[in-house]
Amino acid sequence: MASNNISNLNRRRILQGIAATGAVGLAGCLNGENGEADVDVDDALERNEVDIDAIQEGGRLEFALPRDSIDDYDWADSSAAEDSVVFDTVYDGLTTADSTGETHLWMAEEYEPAEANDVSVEDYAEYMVEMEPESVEDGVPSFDLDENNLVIMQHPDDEPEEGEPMRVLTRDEAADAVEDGTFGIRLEGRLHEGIEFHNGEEVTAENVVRSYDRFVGSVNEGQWFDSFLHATAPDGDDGYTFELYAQEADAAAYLELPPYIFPSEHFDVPAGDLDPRDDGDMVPVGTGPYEIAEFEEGSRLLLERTDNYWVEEVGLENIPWYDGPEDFPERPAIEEINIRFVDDSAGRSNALEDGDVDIAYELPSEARNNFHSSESFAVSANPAFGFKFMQFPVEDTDEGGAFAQREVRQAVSALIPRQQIVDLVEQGWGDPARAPIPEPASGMGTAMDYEDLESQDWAYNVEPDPEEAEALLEEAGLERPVEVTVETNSDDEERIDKMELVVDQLNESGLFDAELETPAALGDWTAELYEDGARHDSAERNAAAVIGLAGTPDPHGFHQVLHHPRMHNGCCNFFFPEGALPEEFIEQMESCRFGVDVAEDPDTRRQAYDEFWPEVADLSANVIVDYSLNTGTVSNDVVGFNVHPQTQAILRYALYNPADQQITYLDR
Amino acid sequence: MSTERGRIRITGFETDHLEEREPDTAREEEYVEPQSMWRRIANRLVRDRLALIGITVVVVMAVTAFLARPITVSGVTVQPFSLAPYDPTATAVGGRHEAPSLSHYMGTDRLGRDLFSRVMVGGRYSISIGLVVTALASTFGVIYGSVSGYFGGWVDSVLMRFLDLVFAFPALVLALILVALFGGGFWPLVGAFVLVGWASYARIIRGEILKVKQNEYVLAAKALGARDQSVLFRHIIPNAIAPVIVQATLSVGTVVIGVAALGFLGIGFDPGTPEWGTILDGERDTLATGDGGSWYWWATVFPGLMIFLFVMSMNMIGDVINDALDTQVDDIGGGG
Amino acid sequence: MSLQKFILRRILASVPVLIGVSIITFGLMQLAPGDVVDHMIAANPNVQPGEAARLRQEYGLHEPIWAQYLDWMQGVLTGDFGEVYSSSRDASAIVRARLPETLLLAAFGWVFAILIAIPGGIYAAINKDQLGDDVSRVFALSGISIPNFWLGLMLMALFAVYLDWFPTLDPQTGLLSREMLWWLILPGITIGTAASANLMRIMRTSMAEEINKEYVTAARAKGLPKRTVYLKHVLRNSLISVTTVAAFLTASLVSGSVVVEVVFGWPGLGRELIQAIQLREINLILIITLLTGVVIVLANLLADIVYGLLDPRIRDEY
Repeated sequence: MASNNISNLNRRRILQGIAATGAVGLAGCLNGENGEADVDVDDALERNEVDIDAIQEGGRLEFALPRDSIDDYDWADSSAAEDSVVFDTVYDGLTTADSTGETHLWMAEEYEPAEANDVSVEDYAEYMVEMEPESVEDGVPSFDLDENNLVIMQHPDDEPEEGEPMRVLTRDEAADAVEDGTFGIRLEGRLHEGIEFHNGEEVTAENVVRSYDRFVGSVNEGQWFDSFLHATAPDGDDGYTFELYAQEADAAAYLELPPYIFPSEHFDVPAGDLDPRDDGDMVPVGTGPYEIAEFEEGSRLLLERTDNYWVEEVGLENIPWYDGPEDFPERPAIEEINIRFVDDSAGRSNALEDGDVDIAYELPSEARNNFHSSESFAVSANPAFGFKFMQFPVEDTDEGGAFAQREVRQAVSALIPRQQIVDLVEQGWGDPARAPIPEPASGMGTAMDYEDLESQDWAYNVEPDPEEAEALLEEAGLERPVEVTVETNSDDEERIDKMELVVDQLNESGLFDAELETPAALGDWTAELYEDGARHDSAERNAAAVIGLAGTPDPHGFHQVLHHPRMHNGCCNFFFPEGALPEEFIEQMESCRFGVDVAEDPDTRRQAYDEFWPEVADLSANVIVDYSLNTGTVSNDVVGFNVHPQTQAILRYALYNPADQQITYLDR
Repeated sequence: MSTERGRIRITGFETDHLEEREPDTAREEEYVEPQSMWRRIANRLVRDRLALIGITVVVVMAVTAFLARPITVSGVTVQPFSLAPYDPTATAVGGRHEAPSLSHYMGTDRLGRDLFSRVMVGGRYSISIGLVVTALASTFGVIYGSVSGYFGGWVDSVLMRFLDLVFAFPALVLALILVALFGGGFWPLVGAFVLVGWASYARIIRGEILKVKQNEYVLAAKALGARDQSVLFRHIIPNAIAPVIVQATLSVGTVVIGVAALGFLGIGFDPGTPEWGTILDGERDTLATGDGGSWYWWATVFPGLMIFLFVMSMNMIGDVINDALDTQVDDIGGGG
Repeated sequence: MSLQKFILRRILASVPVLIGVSIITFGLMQLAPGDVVDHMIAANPNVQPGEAARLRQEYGLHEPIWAQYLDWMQGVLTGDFGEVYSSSRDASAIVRARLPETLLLAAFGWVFAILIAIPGGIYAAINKDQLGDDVSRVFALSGISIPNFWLGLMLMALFAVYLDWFPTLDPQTGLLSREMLWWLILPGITIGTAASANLMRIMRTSMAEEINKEYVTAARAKGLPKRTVYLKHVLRNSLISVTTVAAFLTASLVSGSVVVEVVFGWPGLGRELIQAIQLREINLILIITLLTGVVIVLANLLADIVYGLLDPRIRDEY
């Protein structure tokens, strides 16, 4: 493995030498006619600090959103990431995250895991009731229930059949179970007093409890009620204490359970109906620093700072963890935000250049680099949760079946030119994957320092290692070259560019005869992969699938979705139904998230992960290619902008977050 | 012959002097022997400068596309030449977005691939799809329209109704829907554009046939007992085919642009395919220069220019053919 | 037959055509692999595998095909164009918002085309076979040979990005405001170029043919001034074929708007259509396709009416 001390210039030389097929050679042509020096990403990674005394109040910020309209104004029902960018400014949550991904209390003055029990579905059986499904489609039953009620779990022994009653637990019964002490984990919390919604209503425990009603019947219902069991307000609806219950002893419940907080006037609005374009009264109302002032079908959205932002009411000194300067503002500086919808990345870049917008993200890399080196603009970067991974079909088929052996999978992984991919396709704006989780998610995923995690000997290599690959293939005893296919979706050019580099490298080594295929656009292709027999077909063709995903601040978001049989035929486990991967592996993975010991003690959890990661690397059923860097580009009118690991927080975080003393203001 | 049998005697009907008479020169124009249609086309094409340029360009482009890279069919190398200086799919043969130079005539693209080689090979997709689609669509359209026009009656009504249906879809939208839904690639694209394109031919030939159907030679042939099929194919179609030929040459260009448009929208061929429209889609980002960046003009100008050149040449040829086939019409109108 | 009866007959004849359009589109959507739910859950790790079935039930996508179609048909007749599933909105709201933009773009293209083509064609016809004719011929040929998306890209690169004369972004003012109309110029020129080139050729050809006809020679022989002959008689007669072609060009304007809207980011139905196709939003695709069918049918009808008005001979036949 090449040392990380090789300078960028030398690295490029080596890469050009490997990848070049013609005699273009190493001298002169490297930097192209433009003679650009290599892009230095480091100063983009540095924070832009703000001098509190220099802060200017007011102004209107023009923010470019990479979409042509708000998909769904009802956050409970929206599945578009860009919608969340806007709603994060309108709704504040119980917790907030800083730029390293660490979670802090926010609207909750107190919030922590209290008690956990090792329970499973069978323990709830005594509370279940018998119900006949209204209809059964594809083995999935649907029931006729009251509004706001839904089935949380089914008895595993009962097969859904039309006309046959089966045992289920709905929200009503869940309350009984909880009262009896049957629950996975209880999280206790208390809201600050005096927090007001934009409409003046005070936030009480009732808002926390009843907000879950809004998710019933929404597109995101499955996601929310996957682990949620019940919520109560021990001091009554007007009190401030709340208790959240999860179905299992789930360490991730802490981050995943808290809902978006809605005001009482919206409790009973059906999911999807909170859209002011269809009904002018249905304007989203939250506790965030901005409210929706003007909106128009697709073309116009203006946000205005609220007058009664709760941090001002409560006071920074009452936020338990805050230890920054006393005179740090208690609300954002910018008065208005005008959301400009610019779907096309080149268009966003041009708009930024022309001065039509002040902040833009997801720009073409070339343009972004030019902004970075320009005096009039600044780029901020931060390691993020996005990643690209390669998944192998592990079925041992008669034809093909090469990936049934882990040595072969490891060999492919050893040849992936991770550094070249980041350098050539992303021009340095990315991170070759060494560890199984990115830095922002490492808070709860390892007890080590992140650099230590990256230098473990089982870590992924960033430079291709043909010798190791050859040794591995020797062990596997396969005839060389092994014919393999790398598949990815056809509608993402950058991803395809990266895979072309991978294929080139595999062929270069002489160990593989690789080709790249792009079967279809993402939605169509994954639909094909989920079909019966697709997995078998991929194994026969030795076809590995490459996809990108955005993980979560909680480490489980990186491996559970890829490996767990429960996610088979859902995103993003294509090849591993029950039994495909070793039982011990699955159990070990689950024990990192579920269980009283990890749920109640984060340190135990971190250690559990540290024992788990070497297994993930060794199994190599999924290997990570690279991690994304979130970047945001701003004009010089914008001071103090820093980008957040979570794309959906990119606007909200920059505007105001005392955790890092983050505040942005306009200097015009 | 005896003309003296006690009956009326007729004299003065010797025709010899008539047959030996000199041709009449009183007419304003020389009498020109009507040429066969193909002859006329060839004549015009050879004499018209623009058409010559067009033909040259098309031939050069087709030949270079063919010879650009070796072609193997079932392991047998059918075409061994490699005019393209680089492998069009090889990345990093130059730096990213290098300007045109002696080593890269059209510069390089975002992955360091030689643009000239890519554009050369790209001609294969566009030219072949254009020709194949036109051949298939015109054949099918002609048969359909002929049947409809010749038999008339309810057959005609039903077939024309269906034709109206196809015409109600704008061509590109229908092709877009078909390709986006069912996937891209060479044959799916051919299929989509044939499905969209055959209708024009059908309508044209039907119109012509309606005109020609009443001509005497057709009635004569039928009176002599020729079967419908033979009348249709041996008499009617050859005389009605002229506008179809014009339409065909003009529509090759339309298909090429259509395929490139779908490639530009990201539908049709996989990204990375050196098809002209797909190259444009991949290089679209070069329009965003950021602040102080340079515009890599070659990445978008050259692929588009190729499309333009090819289509323009086909249209010039088509235009001249159009004129050639109209000439006869003009003469009749003017002289009579 | 009177004009009203004619129009009525034609409209009635169009109805089965439009129904056919909707059936074909609907059928294609059903045949295609992957539906809207597949796209919603693709690459979204928060959605469990079981969700697909539940969502399909909610949207009524599990019902038999003919039932879904009839439902849709019923909705259309009452003005409800169905739901856009991924955003829980009404398709009709989206159509209402975007249709004016596309119409504006098409109208500009139309006007541009006519303003260039008619004078250009006349000029070429009058100067037939001379230099002027050749030049206009090359111009017209270029116009139809240039791919409209490339033309748009080049125009945008030169005038909007490099010279900065035009904005690249939606000015967010009203549809008919000055800023919007200014922004409209580049996409309008792009979409109008091919149409104007086509029209110009037809204008030239048909006028050249007219000029050759006997009555022209006769009129000139009678001593009528050139201008009267050309403008009053020749022009009128040649406009007949021009109107027919102009109607057909509506279809190509509609096609063109799809690509041009994407190039310039013009917020119209064409851009919506492309996104809808990628997401398999069946209701939106159906209604937009239906609308294009309606536009084309109407354009043909209009052409026939104008044809009838301009040429009394044809009218008498009715």
